[in-house]
Amino acid sequence: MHSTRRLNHIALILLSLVALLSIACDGSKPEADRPVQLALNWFPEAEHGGYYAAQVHGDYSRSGVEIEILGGGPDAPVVKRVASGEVEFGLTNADGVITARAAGAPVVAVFAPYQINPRCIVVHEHSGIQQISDIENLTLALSQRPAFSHYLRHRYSFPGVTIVPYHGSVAPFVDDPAYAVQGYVFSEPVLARRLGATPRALLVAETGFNPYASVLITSEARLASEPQIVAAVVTAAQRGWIRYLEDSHRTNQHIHSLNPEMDVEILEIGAEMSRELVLVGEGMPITQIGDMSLDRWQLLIEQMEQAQIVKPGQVSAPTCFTTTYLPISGASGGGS
Amino acid sequence: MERDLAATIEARGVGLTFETGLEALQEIDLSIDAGSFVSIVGPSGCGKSTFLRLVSGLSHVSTGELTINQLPPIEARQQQRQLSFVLQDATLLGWRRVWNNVALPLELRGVAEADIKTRVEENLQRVGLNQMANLFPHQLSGGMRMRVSIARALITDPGLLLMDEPFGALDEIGRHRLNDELLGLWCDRRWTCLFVTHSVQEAVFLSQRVVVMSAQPGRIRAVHEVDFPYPRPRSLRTDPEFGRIVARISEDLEG
Amino acid sequence: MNQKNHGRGAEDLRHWCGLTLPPLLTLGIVVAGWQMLVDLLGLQPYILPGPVHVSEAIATNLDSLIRAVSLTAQAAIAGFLLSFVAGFFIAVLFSQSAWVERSLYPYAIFLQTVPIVAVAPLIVMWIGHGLGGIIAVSFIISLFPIIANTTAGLTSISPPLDDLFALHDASRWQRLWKLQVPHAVPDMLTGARISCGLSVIGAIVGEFFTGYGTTDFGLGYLIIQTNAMTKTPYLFACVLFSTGLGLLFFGVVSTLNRLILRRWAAAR
Repeated sequence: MHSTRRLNHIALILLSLVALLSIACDGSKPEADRPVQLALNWFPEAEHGGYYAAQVHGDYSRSGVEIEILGGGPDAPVVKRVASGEVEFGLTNADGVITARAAGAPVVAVFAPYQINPRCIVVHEHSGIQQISDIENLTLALSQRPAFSHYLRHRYSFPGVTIVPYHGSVAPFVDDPAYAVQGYVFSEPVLARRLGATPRALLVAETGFNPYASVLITSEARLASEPQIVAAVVTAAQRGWIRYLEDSHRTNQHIHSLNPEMDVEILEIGAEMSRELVLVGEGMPITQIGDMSLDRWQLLIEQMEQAQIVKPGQVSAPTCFTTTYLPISGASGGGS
Repeated sequence: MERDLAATIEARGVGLTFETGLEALQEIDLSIDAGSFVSIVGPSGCGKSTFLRLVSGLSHVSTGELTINQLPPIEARQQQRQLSFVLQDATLLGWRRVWNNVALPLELRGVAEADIKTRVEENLQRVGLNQMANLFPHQLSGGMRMRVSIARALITDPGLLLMDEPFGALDEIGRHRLNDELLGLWCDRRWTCLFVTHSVQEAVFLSQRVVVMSAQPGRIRAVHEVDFPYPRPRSLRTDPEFGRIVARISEDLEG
Repeated sequence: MNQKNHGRGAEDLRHWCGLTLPPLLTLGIVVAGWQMLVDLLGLQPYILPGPVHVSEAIATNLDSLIRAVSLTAQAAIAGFLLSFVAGFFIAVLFSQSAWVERSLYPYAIFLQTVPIVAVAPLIVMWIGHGLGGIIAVSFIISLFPIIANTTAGLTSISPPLDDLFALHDASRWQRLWKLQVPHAVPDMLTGARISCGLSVIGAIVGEFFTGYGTTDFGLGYLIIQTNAMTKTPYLFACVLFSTGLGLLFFGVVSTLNRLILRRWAAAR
């Protein structure tokens, strides 16, 4: 009788302790990670490397968000989904932000890793062409819709050039010596070289048209209602890009698993070349990754107005972006 | 066996004018007794098929009065459910076997499955179709299909059977055979039969009365009585009196 | 009766041989001609690969190809079945009211003519990307032939059959299920034959615009990637597998067609 009573007492005490502990633990446990989604603008590739690196290495979790990166593809409606609030973040290029805002979609750029746009025109070495302004007397495969295409056609007369649609493959370029093709500096030239050609990549950025690339965007509404999440994601993204540029191996394996037909070799070349495009030579401090300047946005808007991609006065530079969420904010003046 | 539910038809001054203004029937006065077999003959366009449609309730009279058992045709059809109509086309449902085609009227009336089974079997037996019960219409000859159509018409034990040139597509031998079969069935149950045909021979062989119509507008030109007793043997067709009646009616037709 | 059944079996076999041997023979000729062309013109494999290169590509990537085909097939089957069911109900609706048909038919036609490029972003927003979006595109592309053919079958009843049911004072319901629907079966199957091929195209095109493979690596994904990576023999292999899938679908539906229509043989 005595011993059972004793046991009952002990059990009661133990139970109370457990109850107290669980309450205490619940109280002191951090809130569950906020789930967010990031919509890519194409199939996963090196240009998304930093964002994936942050996921693979847990940077988003450390910032308190649980991220889901959604794949993209041709005509992926990234801007629409971000503007409507369906997804919290998306990727596009700076010109994409401007055309979106001109159409009334309230999206804002918060982080821009690529200071130099990887867009290029690929010509054959033996053509002797050293810059885009010299392109003449050949067939040029160029998509009609992107902003850079409008800009180049507006700016240069391209005498003797027949513009044909770009179908996504470098095969026609390799086959025809009097051919040039649009591309990304770490993609098309590499593929052409594999097939035995000697290509030269001419960066579109060197013509002066240089929109930030792989830009992280969100909606104005989200900036107002949940700025802490934006800060968390931008912080994690910067960390991710720092990692990716240092050692992209693990991230590239992950990207390859998401996009099996994308060779790891291409991804590695992409990561290597991105160092130059993101850090602009070794001078730039890594803490500045993702920074944007008002001047560059203003210049881009002017260029797009001249090329008649947007109407004059439709978009104002300060409303397009903000650097307040970068880890060293106010680095070169921001907008709203 | 007497049929006390056979229908009587009364037509008084019945006329039908189509929307186009064409006058199809004019001043039709006709009285058909219960259990009688009456044929209608006439040239194309005289309105004989149209008259059947009026009796069945598929069309409505423009003038005059038409009653079945003292009711307007549609009411008679819907309330008493004594009407069957064998159309020119056998109108069998091609996706159903013979058995299911004959069962259709009972199905539509919501008769219980067990009852349907017995009645269809009985009926097929009577019309001599039980060997073909599982065949599809496309596996049958024209004559067979018409017999199935008749079996279907008879499954509801109708008091009034309308037939619109049912044997018109058959050759002479087939037609004679089906005439015999039809009379056999009619003698058994004595429904009122209104039979439209192109063939004067057929009309005389089958009926007690032959109504001769003229065309444009459709009117009754004459009514002939045919007095031969039932059952009528095949040999009747070669009877001189038979021939005389046929000749008289043919004259009326042409005249 | 037994004799007839045996005759049926032999007839089926003959029909099958008649169906498959001529295309196979032609295929053999085409493959031989293709290899000759490539050799004669000295074409590089990244421009026009010969059958040998393509076979190698198939052998190397067989796992991916089979997985891709089965994914695309799943989407196509789902899209097709959905379009068949939805198309059937819409056609029934059209058949019951001429007014409804006249008002809504133009939208059905719109389905046939709308360019997927324009509609895909909307689909991604409403239904999402991945398998759901792909099935939606396949559904949209397959829908119209079902609607058009089924409506025609439901409403093209010959007047004597109409009269038959009117004489029995059949209800609208009885008329629909005992007359209109069975009457429409051959037309429905015609619609199905057209739609099954479209559903495969729809699944592949759907993948271009709404697949965004990070988990769904169907034929559409493979086609885009192998084209971009200039893995042309692999690209050709994908095209062959797509065609094969379409043919397989068509074969299945045609066989079903033949089996079901045995009893309708001369219904009209």
